[in-house]
Amino acid sequence: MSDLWPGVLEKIDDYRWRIPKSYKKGMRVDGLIYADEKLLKDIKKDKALEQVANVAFLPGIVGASLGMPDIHWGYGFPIGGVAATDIEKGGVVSPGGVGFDINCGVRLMRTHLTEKEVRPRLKDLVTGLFNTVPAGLGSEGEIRATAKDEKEILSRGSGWAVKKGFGIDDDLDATEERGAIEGADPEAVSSRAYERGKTQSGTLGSGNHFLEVQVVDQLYDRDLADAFGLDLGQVVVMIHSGSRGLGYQVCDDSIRVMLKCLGKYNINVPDRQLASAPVESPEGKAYLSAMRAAANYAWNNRQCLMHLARVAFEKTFGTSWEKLGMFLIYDVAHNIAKIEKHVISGKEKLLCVHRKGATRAFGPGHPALPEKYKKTGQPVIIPGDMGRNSYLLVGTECAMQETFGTTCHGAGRVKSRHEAKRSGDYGELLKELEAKGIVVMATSHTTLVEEAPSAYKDVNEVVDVVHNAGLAKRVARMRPLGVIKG
Amino acid sequence: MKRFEFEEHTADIAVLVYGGSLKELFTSAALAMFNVLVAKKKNRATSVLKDVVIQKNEESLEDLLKSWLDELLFTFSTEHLILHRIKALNIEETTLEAKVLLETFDGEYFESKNEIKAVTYHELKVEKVRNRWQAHIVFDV
Repeated sequence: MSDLWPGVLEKIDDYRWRIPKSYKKGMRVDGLIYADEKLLKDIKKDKALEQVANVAFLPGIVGASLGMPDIHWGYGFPIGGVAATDIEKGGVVSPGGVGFDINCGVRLMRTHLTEKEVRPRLKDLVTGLFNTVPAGLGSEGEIRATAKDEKEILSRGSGWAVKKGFGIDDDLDATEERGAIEGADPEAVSSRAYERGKTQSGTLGSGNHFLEVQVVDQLYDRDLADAFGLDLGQVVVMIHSGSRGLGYQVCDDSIRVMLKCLGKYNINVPDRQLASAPVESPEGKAYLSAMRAAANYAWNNRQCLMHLARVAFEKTFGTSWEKLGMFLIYDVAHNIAKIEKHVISGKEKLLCVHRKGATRAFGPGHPALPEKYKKTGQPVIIPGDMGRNSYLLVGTECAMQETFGTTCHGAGRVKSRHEAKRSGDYGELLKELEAKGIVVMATSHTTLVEEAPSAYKDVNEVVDVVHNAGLAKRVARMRPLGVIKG
Repeated sequence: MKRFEFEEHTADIAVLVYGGSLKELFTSAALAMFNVLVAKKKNRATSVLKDVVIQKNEESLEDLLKSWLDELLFTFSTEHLILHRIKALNIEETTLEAKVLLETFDGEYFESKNEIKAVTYHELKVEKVRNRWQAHIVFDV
């Protein structure tokens, strides 16, 4: 990956770069990358920009094929890619534009605890969380769901967990789509997908998924921080997970079907992983119904994980989670396709917005926001790596106008897993984190080394770009105290 | 001869696999996949084994290779079964029939490494290079 991407990149301003559609025959719109010069150097090292250009081939694509500052090489779509298609004009939906981990996402929960109160109990707390939250390869959840429950999870999402007592109604209010997107059809999900998801409700998974205990270490906007109930030194919990095996299988099943659609609907894309079908076609509708069911599974999963985290805190601190002030701030999806209304060249259009490693960031006043966040704009949660920072931001009007109300989703990888393993050592990594006061527990040593902070871009730089470009506004920065990994 | 080698890929795991025949190539691919999933910590005298028959028919060799790996990944994800031995593997054009012996995952004997979400179609390729078979596979992890 030492060769730099050879394509054309035109500077628009300090944070915006264009790949003109003349770059490659077949591109229907330009590519537009949000990055500064420094991040761009890393971005050019892999195939992400070529993938931005490939996405611009999708029938019905409007505006531009977008790349967020955390963009990196994925399969088909880049991770950190955004594409919206005009449904009326035969716009397509592509399962590769959502990814295998449908509704992979993040939630952030505050507590009344301060770092001072947590620090002396940190090791106990992290051990408690590690023992309570199933993580890692082949882990099975303690929260059992029968076959009937599974169907209900797919249509009701987080509502299932709340009904079972694993949360409260306020949790739903603080979840994108209230934890259950409309139009989910459990019947559109294959038996193989059910099979893969069966024992995984309430499991964290592996790879970059995590549960972190963090402390707020910087505030950028006092009024907004107050609105979210956050102050310096306050402890919060962040959970990053998705739809587990069920979602992976839904995506895989759908790509298989959609590969056949390429000929049927005369769709020309340069990578088979970009297989797609018109949103209004039977195949497009079937995918969206199944994808929404998987998205609901993921919301329910994060709700169950949050419940388990509350239980672990209760055990460590010997009091109820309500008394510990463990209330959900917000939950966002960062791998999803949504049907949304946006204004394109002065006209309101119904679009299919693909966010693949990108977060919805609706500005103040948007009708999709719960009453309590109408004034602030949508909370946006950006996890970093386990050694540096994570962020809480809010959506902006600028994002509504430029990026279909979308911003970045994380730090983005810069090193391959292979390279991270070559240059990293498990023992040294633990020592390095311990020196920073971070307690880590992981089921897989391999995963931990592959996920080392040095494998990621600096999230601070990524967030600087989205903030300065106006795609989201900084509210608070956190740093990790305790980390649970798969 | 090397059976497989990993390539640089920022987020996922890309691997080049080799074989003198299609049978060898498909065997190498399965070994590479399980190398991503688990590592043996120590040998065990007895292991719980299960015989599984896999039959696949696809339109191309690429699809057949993906289908073969998908099946092994599915059994691994749902029943936590690891490839122990391939007892028989026949590939005729784009049809495959295999008998495999799988063993149960046990944390005492195996370290879990990466969770593979899927075998992707991204840059998936099966080809003959100077009388040897070669395949390029990207796993989403």
